[in-house]
Amino acid sequence: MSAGSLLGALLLGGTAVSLFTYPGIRRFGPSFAYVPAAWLVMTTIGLASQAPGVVDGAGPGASYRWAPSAGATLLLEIDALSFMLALLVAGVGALVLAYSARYFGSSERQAASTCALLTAFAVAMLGLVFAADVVSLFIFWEITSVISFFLIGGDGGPGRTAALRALLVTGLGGLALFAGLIICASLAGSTSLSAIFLAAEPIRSSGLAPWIAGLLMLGAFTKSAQVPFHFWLPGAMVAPTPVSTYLHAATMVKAGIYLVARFAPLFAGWPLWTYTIVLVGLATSVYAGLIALKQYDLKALLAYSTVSQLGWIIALTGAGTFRSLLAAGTQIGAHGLYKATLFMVVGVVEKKAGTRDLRRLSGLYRAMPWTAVVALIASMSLLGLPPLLGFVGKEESLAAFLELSGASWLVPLAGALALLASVFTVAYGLRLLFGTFGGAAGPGSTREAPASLLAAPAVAALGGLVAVLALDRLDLLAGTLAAELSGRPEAQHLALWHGVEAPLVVSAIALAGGSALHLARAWVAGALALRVLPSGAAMFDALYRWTEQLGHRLGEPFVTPVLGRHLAWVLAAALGFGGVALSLGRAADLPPPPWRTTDLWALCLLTIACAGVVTARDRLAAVSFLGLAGFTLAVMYALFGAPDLVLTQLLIETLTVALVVLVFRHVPRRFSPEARLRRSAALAAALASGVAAALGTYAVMGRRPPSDAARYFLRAAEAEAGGKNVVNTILVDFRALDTLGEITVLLVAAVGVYLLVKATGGARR
Amino acid sequence: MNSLILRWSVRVLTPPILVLSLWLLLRGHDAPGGGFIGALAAGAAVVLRYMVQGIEGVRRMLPVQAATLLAAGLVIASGIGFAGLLLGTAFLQGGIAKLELGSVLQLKLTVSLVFDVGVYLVVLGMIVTVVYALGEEQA
Repeated sequence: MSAGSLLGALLLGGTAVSLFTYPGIRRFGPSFAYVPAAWLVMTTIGLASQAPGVVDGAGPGASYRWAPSAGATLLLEIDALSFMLALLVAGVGALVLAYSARYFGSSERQAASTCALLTAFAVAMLGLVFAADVVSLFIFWEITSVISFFLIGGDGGPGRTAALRALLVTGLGGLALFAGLIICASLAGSTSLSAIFLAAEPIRSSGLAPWIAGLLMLGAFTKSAQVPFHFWLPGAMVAPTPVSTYLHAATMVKAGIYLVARFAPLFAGWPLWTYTIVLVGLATSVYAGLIALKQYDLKALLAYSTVSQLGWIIALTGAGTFRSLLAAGTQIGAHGLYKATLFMVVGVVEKKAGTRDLRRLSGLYRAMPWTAVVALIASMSLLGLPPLLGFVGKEESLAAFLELSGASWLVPLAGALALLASVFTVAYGLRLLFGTFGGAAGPGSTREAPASLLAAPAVAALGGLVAVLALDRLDLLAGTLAAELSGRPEAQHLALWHGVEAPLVVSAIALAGGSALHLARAWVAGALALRVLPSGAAMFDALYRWTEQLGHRLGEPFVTPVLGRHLAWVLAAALGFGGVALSLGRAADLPPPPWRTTDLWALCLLTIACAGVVTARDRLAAVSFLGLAGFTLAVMYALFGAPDLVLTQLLIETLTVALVVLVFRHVPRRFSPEARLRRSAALAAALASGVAAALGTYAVMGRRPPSDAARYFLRAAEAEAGGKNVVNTILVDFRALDTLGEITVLLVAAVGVYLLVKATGGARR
Repeated sequence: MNSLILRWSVRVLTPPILVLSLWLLLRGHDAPGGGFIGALAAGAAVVLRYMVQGIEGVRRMLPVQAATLLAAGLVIASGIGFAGLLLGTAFLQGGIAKLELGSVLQLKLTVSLVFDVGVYLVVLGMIVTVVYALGEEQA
């Protein structure tokens, strides 16, 4: 297999595996989750085998034709950035699925849908990082949002609101991203990312550049939960722990960072881009770190920690220098590993101790020593303590922030924010670790988790150590990433020990400050309980309700049980159409009226039928006359030589009459008498709109030769679609996509009819 | 409804209507007809059956649920579209195959026919849905 087809095979194979996961778990129990886990392990190995090519800047690529007429080709490629994220996605995915195999216990239904969606999500995420063209990038991006919605929402219940919030916020960002990508692609004249980066100069100098940058940033900030869009992420914690671990800590939320990194070649160094992202990222990091200090729910604490860390990484990515990207690459890996560990540990604790409330947890290190060790390793990485990957990443990050170039206030401000964020990180890290595992032993008999459940977090935690042992490899990879994205390779390297320099001093201050905050935690929690800022979720909900009300207002005139009001729109439209058509036409242009004797006969019959409809008192009689009118129309079609229309008209008329008769079983047999005034008004309205429609039709009839499209269809029907029935070839060949849309609508309408009749029938009984 | 004429006519008319419906479906590409019209004809047979024998009669005539018809139709129509994407060049790409069976029989198979079968099933499903929905209470 060529290296290029490996990428396509990974996506297709993963999709197949995810399809089998649901029935597999329903049939064989949650342990079946080891199968997708094994697939993801294989994916990781297959990807890792491409490492030599990737660090040489020649990663595999593949292209698949997709919608050539729209200029869309599915381009897949891996460079150092996608390689790193793909490894993280597949590796952490394997661990999370292995964890799920033991986590769900006997609730097979939940396990089945969750694991199948998790696997599908891994595929979407891989697709997102492989995508080398904006169309597939966007589509995979949206798939991750949609899967996230289903995973948060679960079977409905409390997750519903949170899922909706997450979907609307990330969906809004997705639309912004879409617009940004489209502008980019149209400026570059190609949807391929490499072509867009080649056109970087014209794009940057065009007046649309701020729009593109703004839209892309909006997409990244919503996806990666940056202030003020951060609120959906803590809400998403209602999902089962494996979901929170995978989507909302280790991978999906990294998509925003990925986007910023991916577009670094286009915008890095541009003040609007760099300043906005660095400042929003660091502000988010500080704010979320502070809020994490008052959380008692461990998952909520970790959620705010995630928001804070994402802010940190996105700031590094947005800065776009070689060193900051080197640090970002390292932090993406480090954060993925320790955050996955901590979430899984919280899941273990919740399962064994029955709660994840810090106020009810204490001294678990006695009962769960192994869990405590795993949590300790991960927390050390979170706090940035040696010899873990988190330390390497944090030192490098601080150095990058202190080396930023730009306005004179940028470095002091960024440095101060970074220091504050680090202080809070240390404080909530200690709060998490000691709050859960330290202190006096709590009541109850909590027991250590089985090794099979603890294995996945342990592997992830050790990953943070192993990465440091293989630091030269990681350095090679992160260095390639930074060089490719910044375009300015530098001789900067990752190291466990850089000597006593400014970053180490900042880290020491952060450790001291954080520890002090931890010691004063009672006071801190009290101070934070005073709420200053309004809750983002509450504001979002208010906006949502307001939009819904606006919709109701706007829709009210059209939602009425009075048939006459609906009919009024149709009649008004007929009047308007007639008026416009007549005003456009000149009498001289009108064709002579095509009178034939046979037409007159049909017209007489039609008039009689219509008179019958309007004078009948009995509903059945009225419908019969209506049918007669319809059949007469069919005759007229036949006279004009349109056999297709005749057939359709006859069948439709037959069915309509029959179905309307079915409805009659629900209504009185005779029409209720109407007031005289009302009848006259109806007559006048009907005559006016009828005459207008007739005159309008006459005015536009025969006014132009067959259109270009019509001539094309007449010519191409047999040659291209192989059919002599032009109407049919249009329906099922030339415009088959429209027809597909129409039958979809039909299906939805059928469901609607069924439900409507059932609902009203039920109400009447 | 229990008139002798109706009872007799439903028995005699249903088979030819259904044959007519299929014939309309198959010839649609070259002559008046097609999935939509064919399904309307079959729908007429369904309604006729319903008028004489009620829902039970419809159920015996068409032993599948309306939802199955609707779903199958949409799956077939979009499935052939994806087949065009995978085997050809684009979603819903057309294709024609001529089969010579002996010297007399010649079959023309088109991708559009499969698509039209999907349309046929959805339209028929819609009619059956309406019949079930509006007529279910009557035995």
